[in-house]
Amino acid sequence: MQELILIEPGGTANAEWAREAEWAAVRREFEERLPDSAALAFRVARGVLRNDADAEDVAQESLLRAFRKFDRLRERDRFRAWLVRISFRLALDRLRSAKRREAREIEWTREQERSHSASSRGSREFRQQLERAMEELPEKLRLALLLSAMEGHSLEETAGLLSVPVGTVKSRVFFARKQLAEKLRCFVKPTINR
Amino acid sequence: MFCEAYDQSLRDAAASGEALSATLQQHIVSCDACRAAFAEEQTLFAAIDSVLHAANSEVPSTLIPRVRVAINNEPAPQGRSYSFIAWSSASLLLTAAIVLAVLYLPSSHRPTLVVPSRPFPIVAAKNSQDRALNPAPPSGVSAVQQKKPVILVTNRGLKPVTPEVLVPPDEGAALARYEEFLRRKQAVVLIASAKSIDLRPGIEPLQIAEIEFVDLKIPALSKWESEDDTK
Repeated sequence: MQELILIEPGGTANAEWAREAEWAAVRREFEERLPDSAALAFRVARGVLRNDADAEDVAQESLLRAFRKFDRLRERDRFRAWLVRISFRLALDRLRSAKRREAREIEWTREQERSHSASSRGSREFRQQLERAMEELPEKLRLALLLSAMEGHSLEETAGLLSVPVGTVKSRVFFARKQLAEKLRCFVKPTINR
Repeated sequence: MFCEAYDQSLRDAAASGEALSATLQQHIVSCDACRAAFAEEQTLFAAIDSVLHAANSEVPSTLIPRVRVAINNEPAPQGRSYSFIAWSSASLLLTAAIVLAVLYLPSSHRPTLVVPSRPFPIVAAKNSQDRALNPAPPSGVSAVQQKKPVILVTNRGLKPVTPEVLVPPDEGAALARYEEFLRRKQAVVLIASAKSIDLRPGIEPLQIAEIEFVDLKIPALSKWESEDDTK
């Protein structure tokens, strides 16, 4: 005795179309956020790496990773904070790579040589010292300092990006600046007063 | 160099970038050293800020197009494979069932191997009295023929129980006779089976004398007590 099986041909196709429509909506929403998000990711990476080419690579990778998991992000208003963390983490990873560091140093030297005449803010030596001091900062202090130094970022916005109270951001920025000053004070006096 | 009393307050004020309090403002106006030190501190933080603000450089114009291309190249996510989920669930359930069966199987159903530390005693009754006082267990006869240690399969949960049979006094004699009959019959069977086993050269087969049963004579209790008193 044969069994009769009812096949619904439209069922699978409907599910496929629904999935594609959902995917297109996710993509559209992400692309709308892209100009603002790209600037944020790039600046966070640039603050860590101090190199435009590396920062651009890291920003692209961060945005791509964010896009892959964007549909699973429940709180869409937390997207910028999420992206900051991804970008910061990736930038730190790249900074720790010895090979990249070497290439960056060479590039940085060339860049400095090009822009040295135009730069009126402190000496090259001071910048190097400051960058070393920044690398020695704890990650929390460093990220708070970077975000608060960005254009258009108030303490409230930085607090939102870091998911911490405004008082915590103030405290982190304060201690970060103090630590930097402690390391640079002895060095900066003769340089700046020159 | 700051005055000692105002050192920390002025450094903190410079680091925070906030306006000076009235007290500190008043001191700065009146103290040349603190004013100069505070100006140096402010210069230091301005230099730090200038480097930090360099992070606000223009975003490269190539970044957004690059990201768009990368996003367009991303494949759409596929629907979850339910067959994988079904297989995973089934294998998990099976594993759990096996583990539970192993853990909760009653211990009496699990056979265990027990290796005796020494072989069973060889019984060779010399005379009728010894035989009567030391009746050998029938299993001892078969153990003599084994070269390897005997492996017994026992149930761990069961304890050896001596059977007790309650009979009326008039049937006791009949029961004793029946017990004797059974013992003789068992002994004959064991001897026959022992003879049928091939023995290695040089080993003589076990010689068992004919079994003779006598009544056990136990001295009266009063006799033992009187011996103890004399000692």
